Amino acid sequence: MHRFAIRRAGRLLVSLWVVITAAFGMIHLIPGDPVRAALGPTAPAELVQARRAALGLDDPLWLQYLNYLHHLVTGEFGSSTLSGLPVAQVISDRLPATIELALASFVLAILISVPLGLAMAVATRNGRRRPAELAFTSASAVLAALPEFLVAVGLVYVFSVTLGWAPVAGRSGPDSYVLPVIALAIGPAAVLARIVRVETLAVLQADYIRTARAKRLPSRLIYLRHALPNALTATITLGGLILGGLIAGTVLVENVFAWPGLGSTIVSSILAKDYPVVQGIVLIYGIGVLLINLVVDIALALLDPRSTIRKS
Amino acid sequence: MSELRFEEVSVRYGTRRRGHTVVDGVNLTVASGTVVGLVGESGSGKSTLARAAVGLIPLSGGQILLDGRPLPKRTPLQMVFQDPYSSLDPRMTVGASIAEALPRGAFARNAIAAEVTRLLELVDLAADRAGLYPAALSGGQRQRVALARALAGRPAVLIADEITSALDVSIQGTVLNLVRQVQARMRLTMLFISHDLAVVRYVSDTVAVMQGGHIVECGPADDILSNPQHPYTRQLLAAARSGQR
Repeated sequence: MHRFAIRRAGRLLVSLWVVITAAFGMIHLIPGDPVRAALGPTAPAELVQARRAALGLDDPLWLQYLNYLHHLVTGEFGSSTLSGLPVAQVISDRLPATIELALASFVLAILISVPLGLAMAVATRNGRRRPAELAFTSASAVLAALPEFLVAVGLVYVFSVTLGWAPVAGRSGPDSYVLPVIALAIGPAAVLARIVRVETLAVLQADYIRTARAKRLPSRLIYLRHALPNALTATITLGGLILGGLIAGTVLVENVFAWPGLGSTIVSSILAKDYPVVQGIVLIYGIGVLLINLVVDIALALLDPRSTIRKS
Repeated sequence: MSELRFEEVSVRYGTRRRGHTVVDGVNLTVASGTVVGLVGESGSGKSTLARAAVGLIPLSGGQILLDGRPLPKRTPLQMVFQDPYSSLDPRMTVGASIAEALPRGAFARNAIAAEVTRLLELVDLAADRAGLYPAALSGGQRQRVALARALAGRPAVLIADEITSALDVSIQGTVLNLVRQVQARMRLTMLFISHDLAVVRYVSDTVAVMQGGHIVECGPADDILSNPQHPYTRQLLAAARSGQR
């Protein structure tokens, strides 16, 4: 297990390097001059030139890359070209709001999807209750296909504008979490519930479920002790991917709800060509996804005695 | 031990209009403390009969009696299944799997481990196997675990459904020996199902031959094997002999 952890950490470092390089390359491939964008079209050419030199933007690309790596290693993310604030501070101000949103949505998606998927599998096993199965698969397909921002706008229209039950935007109190969390969780919950159902249906056909029935265990134990743990392997893997996808979803949902997180910041920074901030946030997103994948792999290795991940 | 009796038992799959009768009016008695071998080719209805007995499939006609009384809802029958590779929960240790089958409340918490050890030793497995997952065991060992698991339920009758057919020939013999040993030691009433007449002959007191959902011939093992009456039995016997050659 220790060797697995070390190997996995080594892979994480390689992925991290790829993410860092991609974040650097991406910014420099986008056309446009960040200094000109920050200072405005009327700024004198000398000022722009002086600022470019101060930021090191006139150096050759490889030198900029090395400087960038050096700064990252020393914990120096640079400063916003727009506000002059250190990027590290911008990120530390905004990150908690995004993490709260993503985690709350993930927990909600799991709390909805696992019991729902399991219950639907039990109810519709062996071709029982066809109408219920059809209703579930159609409804979940529609919900899974709806883009987050559309769900978000729909929720705002119904629950904030029309009914006035929840705030339209912002992060001001517990009730301000309700709509963004639902908007972000509903798609992943639908996808996961479908996966849990299909996995559980497959497991219910397995011989060891027949053995469990032959042991005359109560249904509750058959489903919770034998079916669910065996159905969850794929769910954990996909759950990790979905949590990674939730991070992308936060960008859209945060913008709809003016949520003061990284997502709304990255969009405004891209529009303002505030490269250091964009670079820093892209890096944080990348690291977030890598960490989630790491946690999922470790969880699989720990939870599933059959898992071959340890050997891979 | 108890006597198991099938009276005019029928099982039908599918809907009423578009269905298929798999077991058709079967009468069969497994006397207390004896082994009845049920032979027949694939699709003859043997496994369906067994599953109906343990309540995994509903009957469409007739009744199954235990000591002359209809089977209670929580049937005291236990079954060992064909495939030892898939019949054990891969996420549960061997010990937990066996312990789960013990009658609830029959053992104090601290007596469970001792009972699991006793059952493992009964099927010639070392007590330290209890902590392993099924994936760490061979097919023969898993089938022993499956047998221990079935015995843990204190069955009135044990049903063995093709328990050797997923095993290598070399291991089949050891598992069969074990079954015979355990049956003799515990005076188990047993319905032993196989498509292989040679295997059935080895463990059974009585042999019943099944074809197309019917029992075509039934009698003491020696009589059936030395003097088969039904053409299908002769055919099976000839097949078994040619297989041995």
